Amino acid sequence: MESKINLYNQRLADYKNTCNHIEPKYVPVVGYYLTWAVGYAGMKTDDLLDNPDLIAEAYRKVYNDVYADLSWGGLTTPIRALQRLGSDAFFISEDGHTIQHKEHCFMQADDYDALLAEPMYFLMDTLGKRKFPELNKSKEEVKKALIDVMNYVNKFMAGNGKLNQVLKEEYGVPLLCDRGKVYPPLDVVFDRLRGFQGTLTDLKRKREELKLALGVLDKIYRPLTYPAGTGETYAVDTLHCPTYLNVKDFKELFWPYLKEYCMEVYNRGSKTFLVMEGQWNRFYELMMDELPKDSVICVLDADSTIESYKIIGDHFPILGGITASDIKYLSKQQCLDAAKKIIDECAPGGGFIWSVDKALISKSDVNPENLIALNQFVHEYGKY
Amino acid sequence: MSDYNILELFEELKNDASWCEDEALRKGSVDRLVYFIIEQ
Repeated sequence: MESKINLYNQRLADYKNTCNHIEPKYVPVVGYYLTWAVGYAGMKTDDLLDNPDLIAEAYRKVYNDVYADLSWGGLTTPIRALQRLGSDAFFISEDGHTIQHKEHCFMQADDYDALLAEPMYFLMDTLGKRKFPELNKSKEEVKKALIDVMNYVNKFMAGNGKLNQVLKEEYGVPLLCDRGKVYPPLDVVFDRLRGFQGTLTDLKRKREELKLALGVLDKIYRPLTYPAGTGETYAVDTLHCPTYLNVKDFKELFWPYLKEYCMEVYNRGSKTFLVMEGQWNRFYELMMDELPKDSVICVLDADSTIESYKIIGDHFPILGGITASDIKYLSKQQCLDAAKKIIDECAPGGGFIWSVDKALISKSDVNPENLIALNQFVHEYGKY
Repeated sequence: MSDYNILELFEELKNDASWCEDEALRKGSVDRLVYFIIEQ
């Protein structure tokens, strides 16, 4: 185990160096596997949900076969807990491993006054009872359901914790992020309260109420940044709605909170992984003007790795590579050629981490032979 | 109709050792449950 801990420490040092624009020994390679790893192991997600102790077992196969220096961890959603509350928002696809979800937003346009008047009561009681049928039963039944949920979530977290321990002790692989969560209020509205259509409509028709709601949600969500800096690695934010915003709305309603939360994390000695879903290049100038160098790590999605690197690569570390569909449809040699070009452009000077563009969720997302060859190639060619 | 206020019930769960004797685990679990109810 000692050699794996040494490997872990070396990878952690490489990771931190490159996130500070210091050349590491190797370009770090990320394992961005969610339920894809479950399908790859020939297992069923339902079995892992029923027995979270199996999570580590399921992920062993992919870490045995596919090179990785860093990991996003294992399963993210304790679906059984949602089901205990009567929700069918999350479900498993016919393939037996891919987790899908429906939009699950129950706040109406005329609910802003209730949210602003008693935020926690509205979010927990009013919306909770709309979302979860089991919360509409008697107090004793609800209490039992909530205890079941907490016990299950703890078991689920322990299962993921066991995976993290296995990754560290058996594979020498650190987690990309461990402490601190950044969740700007407009994304809370978009993801949890009003949904895609409701939020974009409110930007035009309920703008003042929406702005007040962001202030209320800020008080609830800012404290989640506080654990930043207490772990070994960094904080994280998966950003959903900015790709649908113009620069004016982003600057007025999203950015002030995102910037403050990232600075909170930065001032605690940590950094924030910004998973920038969709296209973000129209926000690059603002981000570089207002955030310190190396304060955040930009996880690219629809933005080109090389083109983004040319603009932000000296200021922010980036996490990028080729797309999952390239790994699925290109030949092995085409994948390696594309990787070589990206490493040649982005790796010099540090500040670059290799990853596929999206979390892998379905077994058919990539050609596994290409992925195995690609990650091994990036590791070898990415030696400084 | 339900016969309880969920915020009061959460306080009750925080202070009720009958379902979890470990105070830190119990309070941490309830705090996590708040965000779980909001976010799921």
